[in-house]
Formats: sequence, C-alpha cells, structure tokens
Amino acid sequence: MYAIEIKNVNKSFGDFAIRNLNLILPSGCILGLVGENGAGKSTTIKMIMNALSPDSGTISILGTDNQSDAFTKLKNEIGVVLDESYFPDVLNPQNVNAVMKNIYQNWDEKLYFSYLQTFNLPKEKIFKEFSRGMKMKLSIAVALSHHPKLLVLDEATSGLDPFVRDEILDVFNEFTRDETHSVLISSHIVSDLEKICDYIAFLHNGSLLFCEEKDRLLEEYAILRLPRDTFASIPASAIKGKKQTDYDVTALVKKNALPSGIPTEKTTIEEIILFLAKGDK
Amino acid sequence: MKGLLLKDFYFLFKQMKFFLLLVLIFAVLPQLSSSGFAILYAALLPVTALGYDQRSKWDQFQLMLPCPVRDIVLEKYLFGGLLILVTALISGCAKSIATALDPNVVTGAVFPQLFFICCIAVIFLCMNLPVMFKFGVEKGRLFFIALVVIGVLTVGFFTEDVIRFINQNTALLSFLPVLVAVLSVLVSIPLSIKLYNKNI
Amino acid sequence: MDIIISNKSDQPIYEQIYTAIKQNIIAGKLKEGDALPSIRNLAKDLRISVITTKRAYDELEKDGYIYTVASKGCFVAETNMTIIREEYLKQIEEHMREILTLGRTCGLSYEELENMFKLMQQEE
Repeated sequence: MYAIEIKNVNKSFGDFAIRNLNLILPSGCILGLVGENGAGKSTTIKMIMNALSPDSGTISILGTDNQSDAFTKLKNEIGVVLDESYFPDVLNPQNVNAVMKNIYQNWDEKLYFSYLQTFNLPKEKIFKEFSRGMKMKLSIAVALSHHPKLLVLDEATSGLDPFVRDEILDVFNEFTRDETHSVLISSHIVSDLEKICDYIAFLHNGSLLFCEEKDRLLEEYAILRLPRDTFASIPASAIKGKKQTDYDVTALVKKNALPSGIPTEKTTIEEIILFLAKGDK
Repeated sequence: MKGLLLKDFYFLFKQMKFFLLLVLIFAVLPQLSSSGFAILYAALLPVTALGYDQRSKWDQFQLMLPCPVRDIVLEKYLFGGLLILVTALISGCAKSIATALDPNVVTGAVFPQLFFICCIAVIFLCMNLPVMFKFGVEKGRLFFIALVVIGVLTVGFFTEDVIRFINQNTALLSFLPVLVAVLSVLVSIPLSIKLYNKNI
Repeated sequence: MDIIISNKSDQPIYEQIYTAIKQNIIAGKLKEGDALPSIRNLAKDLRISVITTKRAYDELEKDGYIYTVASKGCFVAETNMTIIREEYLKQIEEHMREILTLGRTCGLSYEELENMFKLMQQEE
C-alpha cells in the first residue's frame, strides 16, 4: 500500500494549471517536493488533503480514495503542517490542547506537552506573541501528537534559522524510523530536503519533471566545467542543462552518457534542480 | 464539533470581552428593546467568529482536520443558538427579578416576547450564515449590514406593535414566528453545507 | 561496527556502506551470526536514505556476505575463507599494479623495485 498515490490529476485556475500529475509515495519513505514559488506545491498538498478538488484524476491516501466519505475519518492518521500559522491569535498552547483533544481520535495529551517542553514553548503564552519559529514548532507538535501515519508538510522549515531547521529535520527523520510512517515535505529550500529525503520530486510550472530516488540522482548526474571550445565535443545527449560565460561552460551532465575518462565534479540536488529548471538559457 | 465549539468560546471570552459585557448590560436592562438588541447581537456573534476564522486562516486548516463539513457548518449554528438562548435566559431572569422588585418596570408578558425575539434572531442567523459561508465574511459584509439594519428596525420599532397585533389575532398567528424560524433552520443548514462544499 | 559515510567521496553511498560492512566482516570485527542493524535503523542513524541502506544490504546478500531471516533481520553469513582470500589477493594485485605504474613514472627498473621490496622484508 502506498502512503500517497496521485493518478492523472489535473487542476486549473485562470492562468495556472497542474497537468497530468502522477506521484507515488511508498510507505516508510520521505518524499521531498521541490519547486519554485508558484510551481504548484501548495495546490498539490491541498488536493491531497481534499481541501481542494482536482478537475480530474484520483488521489489515494493510505489506501483510501480521498474523495470518499471514509477519508474524513482517515485524517486522524494524517498530520498536517502548513506554511503559515493558522491557530487563532488569542489561543495559547494549553487552549490548543483542549481543542485538539476533542477533534483528533488519537490525541495524546502527554505527548503534546512533552513536545512543548522539548521545543521550549510556553504553555500559557498566546500566539500573537509567538515568533515564526515558535509557531512552526507548535504546528509540528500538534501534527505529531495524534500519532499520525503520514505527515504532510508544506514549507514547514521556511523562515526558520539553520539551528531550528536542523532540529526539526531530525524530528522528521526519527518519525520514519517506524516503517509504517511516511512523510511528504514540500520546500523551496532544497538543501533541507537533500538531508533527509528518500525521493525527490520536482514540480515546475505545474508539471512534474521527475520523481526519483535522491541517491540515484546524485549518482547519475555530475557537473562538468570546460573551456568553450572543448565543450563543443561533448555529446548533446549527455547535457541536461548548462550555463555559459565568456570563459567557460558549466553543465549538468548524465554520467553514463559521457565518453569515458572525462573528469566530473559531484553535484548536489540543488544544482540539479537549478540546471534543469533553467534549461539551456 | 465539540473542539470547534470550544475554540469559538475561547475566542469569545478572550477577544470579545468588551462586547460580551455590552451584551450583558443590554440583556439585563428592563426595556424589551434592549433585550432585543442583546439577543440580536448574540445572533451576530457566529458571524464574527467565522470572520475571525477566515482572517487567521483557521478555516483553511480545519479542512485538514477530521471534521466533516457538516460539523464545521453545524457548529456555527449551534454556537449562535446557544448564545441566543443564554442571552434570552439572562434577560428573562433579569426581568423576572425586576418585576418582583417593581411590577411597573416591565411591561407585557416577558417570556412570550423574549421567545418571539429569539425566533427573529434565529431567522436572522439563518439568513446570514449561508451568505457568509458562500462569499466569506469580508465580501458578505454589505449583506450583513443590510440585515443588521432590518433586524434593528424590526426589533427596535415594531416589536410592541407586532406583539399587540399577534395578541389581538388568532392564536394560530403566534405560531408563525416559530414556524418560520424552524423552517429557516431546516433550509439554511443544508444550504450552508452545500455552499461550503462548493467552495472546496 | 564503524561505518563512516562521506558525502564528498566520489563513491556512491551504497557502495561505501557495502565496502565498510564487507571490510568489517573480512577483518573479523563482524563474526558469523552477528546481527546487523536493521536497514531502517542504520539509515536513520547515519542520516541517509532507507533505499540506499537496503541496496547495500541487497548487494551484500547477493555476494554472500549476509543473509536475511524474515521478520528478524540480517545476519553475517558463514565466513567463506575462499571469498576472503580472493578479496585479499585482489587488493594485493591492485597495490602491485599501482607500484609498477609509480615505478615506471619515476623511471625505476623492475630490479630496483624488487630490491626495495627485499629490503623492506628484511627490516621486518
């Protein structure tokens, strides 16, 4: 059973459209959804949670069709963190506990308060007075405290300093120690995703350019830096993106399409994404 | 639904303290019209709560929670109903005490009058909520203001006349407000649910 | 068991794990029947992908270094002395080739190399 299965989903509004989206998150894995602002990440997440209906196609979460009546109950198994804080300003973490206790079936009060302590969040301070980092940590505490099987995180690390980000990524990493737990995390901070993801999916202008195992991507692609005239001898089939200056060419290449003996540099997911998005500009 | 109700009550007691006090004051004053204002205002509070939900983006988040749309919509009606009831009860008690102390201070039969106002408030709530669910509180504001004006006018100026008219006519007519109130609830709630679902 | 993974190395991560575990087995640090950490726990402890640790374990199993018991985990297989010996022979051959190449580069003859080797042997 897949944690998330998106089949042939299309959604358009005005001048933006998500076209023919097919995406799978196998159980027990972490999938990073990358894309520039406006690529369709948040829309995809809303459609996953059935907060938005696709024009066509189906989405299956933990084996259940998300348009079915059973899905509402299944949301008990899904922890969601959105990119902005959505708790009313006047509530404090204590109030949130009282509210959530009566919303989620598996709400674990003890666990919630232990997260508050780990994250150093004051129980009686109202959200108006929380920093962005604190609001994010609280959303994460809430998402984890009802023992979900799936975490859906939309830009859960943006706006946070590197220390907090690392702390939070660790939490998500630990979450998937259990093989029945899966995570979908969308971000435009690619380096964060590179740290913990098993799969990387790249959404660009509403289309999924690829969804691959992260480590395989790092094995398959490399960076090639050559003077302009030498570069001309590289077969076009190997070049997946390039940047030209007056002095040299830097290109993203597929290692197995290169003639042997040409030295390349290791690349990062961020570089892969940047080159693929820019194309041949 | 209990969780959602709890959230709205937190909002009420933390954010709306001043207005709650105002409602309380109006509710205990002996004049019928001031009770009317209080009860009518109580019927406005679910809309204020809804507006707050929409501004704090809670309404987007709650779609991610295991709350069926039916519960999300119904909770606002229940919230309104409870507030109307409590305000009416406070009014009723205050007037009963006032009557006991000085029989001349309150005119007319208190409870039937309050009951009539409650029916008007319920009808008012039922007309308001579907518009707010469909257009959002920001956009529905004009409609809201128009309704407030009509509501205020009805309660403020016509109550005694209407009640006199009812008392002078057949007992059947006195059931009319109740009937309309019940009907409006039965129509409004499914309508709100349908409109809310359309927005998703 | 010590495994150090380097992101900077040219060697793919699954290969690094494969090599590290294999070395541990050959060196005797992991003995026959020893339980290996689960694929998932290893991945999480090293902060790498589960897919990668699985791949490394699959390769190790294919090459006969470990075996899996359903719902119990992976264990070190019977140390096959032939495999280990072959492994060492391969390494010696590689080093010897390196020596020949280096020698050629700085112009040493075969006899000079042989003498160097004999001297070293006598020192031991």
